[in-house]
Amino acid sequence: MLVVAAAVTLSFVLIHAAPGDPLSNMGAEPMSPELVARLRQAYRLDEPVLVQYGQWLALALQGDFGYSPLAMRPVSALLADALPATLQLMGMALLSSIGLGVLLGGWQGARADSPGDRSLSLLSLVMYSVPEFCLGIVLLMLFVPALPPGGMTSDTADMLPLMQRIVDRLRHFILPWLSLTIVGTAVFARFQRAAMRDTMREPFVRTARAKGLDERQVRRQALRTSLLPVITIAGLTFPALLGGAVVVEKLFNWPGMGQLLWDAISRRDHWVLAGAVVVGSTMTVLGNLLADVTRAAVDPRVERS
Amino acid sequence: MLRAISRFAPIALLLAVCTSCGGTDTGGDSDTGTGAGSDIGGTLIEVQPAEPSTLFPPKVSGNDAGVIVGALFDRLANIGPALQTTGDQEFTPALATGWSWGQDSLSIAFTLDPKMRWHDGAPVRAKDVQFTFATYTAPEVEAVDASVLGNIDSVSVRDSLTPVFWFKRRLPYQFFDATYHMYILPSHLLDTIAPGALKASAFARAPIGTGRFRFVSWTPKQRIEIIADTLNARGRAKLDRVYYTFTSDYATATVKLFADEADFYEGIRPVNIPQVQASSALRLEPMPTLRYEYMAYNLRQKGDSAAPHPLFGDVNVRRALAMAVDRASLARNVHDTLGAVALSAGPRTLIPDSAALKQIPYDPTAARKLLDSLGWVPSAKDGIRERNGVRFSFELMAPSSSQSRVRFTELLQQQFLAIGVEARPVVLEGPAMGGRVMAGDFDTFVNAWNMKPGRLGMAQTWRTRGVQNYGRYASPEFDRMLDSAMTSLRSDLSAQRWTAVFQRLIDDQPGLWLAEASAPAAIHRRIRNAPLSADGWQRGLADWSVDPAQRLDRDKIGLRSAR
Repeated sequence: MLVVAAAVTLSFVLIHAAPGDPLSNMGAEPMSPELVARLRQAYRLDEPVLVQYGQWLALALQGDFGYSPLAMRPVSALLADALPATLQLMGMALLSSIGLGVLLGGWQGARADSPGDRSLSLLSLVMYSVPEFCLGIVLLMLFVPALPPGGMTSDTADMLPLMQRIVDRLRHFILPWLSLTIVGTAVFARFQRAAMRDTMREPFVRTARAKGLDERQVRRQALRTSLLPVITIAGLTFPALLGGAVVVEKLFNWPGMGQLLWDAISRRDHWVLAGAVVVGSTMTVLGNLLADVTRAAVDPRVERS
Repeated sequence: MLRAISRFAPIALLLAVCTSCGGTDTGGDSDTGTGAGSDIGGTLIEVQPAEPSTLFPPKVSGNDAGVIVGALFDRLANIGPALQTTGDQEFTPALATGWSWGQDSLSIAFTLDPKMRWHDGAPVRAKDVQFTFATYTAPEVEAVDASVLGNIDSVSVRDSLTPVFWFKRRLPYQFFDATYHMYILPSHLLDTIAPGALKASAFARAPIGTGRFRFVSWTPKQRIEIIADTLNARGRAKLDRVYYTFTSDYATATVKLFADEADFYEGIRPVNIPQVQASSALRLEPMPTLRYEYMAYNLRQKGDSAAPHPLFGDVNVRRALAMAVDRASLARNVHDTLGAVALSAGPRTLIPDSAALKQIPYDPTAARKLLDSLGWVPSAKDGIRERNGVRFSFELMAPSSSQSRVRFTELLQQQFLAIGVEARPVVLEGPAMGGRVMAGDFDTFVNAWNMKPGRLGMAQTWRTRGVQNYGRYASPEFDRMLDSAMTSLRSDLSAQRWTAVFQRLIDDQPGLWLAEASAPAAIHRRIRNAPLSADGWQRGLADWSVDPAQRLDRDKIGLRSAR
């Protein structure tokens, strides 16, 4: 709760410190100064930031995140529209990043300093260094028109038979998922490699080998032990993944929290931003909690401590 | 963990398999019931850069939502292709089949088409028109166009098919006022909702209109779908359905267009025009515009609206700056062959006699002499002019969202520097720039206005205390000339007076008129469209069709609803 409260407070203050507000949009139709003044009063934009924050907080504690004058909808409705899309994209990207990263890093760690390990280390370093949006643009250039460039479905998808609709949905999913997964895999692979390499030098591995366990069994045992740091990293990676999703959702027109957040910042939609930060920071906290629980499940020593 | 990974492996495999799936996006069979050679049927997908906030007509602003509302709703009469706003000669019937003026010309009685129905089947009645006016002018609704309806006193109902508009005074654009600014709303669906709650009502996201298209669905952040209203009294639209698909990223939008996933995009940038021309699937369609770009001066001191700006409060300084700028080369540089020099505070199509306007010539030598004579002399240090210790240096703002306006700031900086004037480009996000402009906290900024037919925006942007007169230009003489032009009932006199208004804005230079640019739309070759109008491309959309010989799979969906 403390983390969520701190994140929301900070973002609320920062967005108010940025020049402009939701009504300072010159591209819109003319509004008389009287109307602007009335709207500022109606949306309490003329009050000090702390007062606005207090009023917002009082409502938020009752589950009301306010109303967006720009989207002309309650913020909770906007969040409800966007959250499932982000959970779908991020959830799958996180799972596949962990899975592929653990496999790749585990393989490398078990063969540390071999030519294969060195090649993969270089590759994962490159992928780790590439920002998601650069990778996204490259993927767009490589795979469009074989794959659709954006959106969650084709515009005419609702007219398709069920199976074709599922295929259509999956085809739209691939590029944004790949953009997040490639970078995520590189991150997990690097940590997993280091953990696996260290584990392979542990006395219990020597003992297992001495007892005559075959190498596959030894590596499986070592992989299980080396997962602990990766599980911790998974929790810590969550905010970075959320940050990456903002760019990827924008680039691939994925209608999730990232795009909502981007629009809210660029249009100075304070209330949407605050609501999105509550959801984002809650997801981060829950992600870390899940990592802790998983760690305890994998390593009984954690549970005991 | 390994068990979990193995559980996801089939999903990954399925994803991989999907990459090899075909590129067609539909597989439905046609149920249009039309022959192979018929021009009925087909699907149009328009890429829109932004999702509308609402489809409630009084709250709709901007072109994106405007084109959708324009397809779903009707006005009483439609403006002609020349966008002539005086009198009623060029207007064509829409919901009204005819109209008659009161003897004193202070009222217009419209005769509604008795066959017209709302999309829910209810008949269109005079009380809908009365309700519409009441809604647009209700303060709680905060309608975008409420301020331009001030000359309409009231709307009464003579009988169920005859609404009567009553005006406060005779003006040349009375008919335009009664018809152009309001889409007629269904009172039987809305009159039980409080006016302030209408914008957030279910109707605002699933509207019921009278247009030749009717609303089907709105998928948030993705698309809006409309289909032909087959029961419309004026005949069904030729296209079966139209999707407005929202793609805020320009690169993704163009990829979608070039990947055959969209048919129409009106925001194509000059850099992509050769690509469209080279495409076998796309073509360019000329799109007239009512937009002009200019550099706005702040004529008042920052933070003190009573005092003149230390640099731009002097009209001779502004004229000197106008002489220093080669506007023809700027327009060419920014817009290539699509650009032309803006003649005054409006596009050519709204200036009655553009040939009569006397421009300030490009003459940097004369500009230097004029500034010298005003006491602004180059400093020995760096050549930037100074007067009484004040340096001729100012901020020139532009929004980061507009490539053309940012480019203008760079080019203007160079040209001003050549006469010893320092302009410092400042590129800001839209709301940040808007906040500073509205607060009067600026020196200059590059702006663009999309005008509406009838030059009504002139009063809002240039009259003393006009709603969008951000530079705080105040000239009683200009106000008098503008009033005179706007109230002139004789067309020849009106043309003369409007020309004088535009000339006055050249002479006074409250802004440096930079460019107007036509922006062609990219459209799929199989689409047969009506000419695009400057006040919204959707005019005539119901008569657009798809060449039967070039139909794609998505054109064969027909009118059936989603599976």
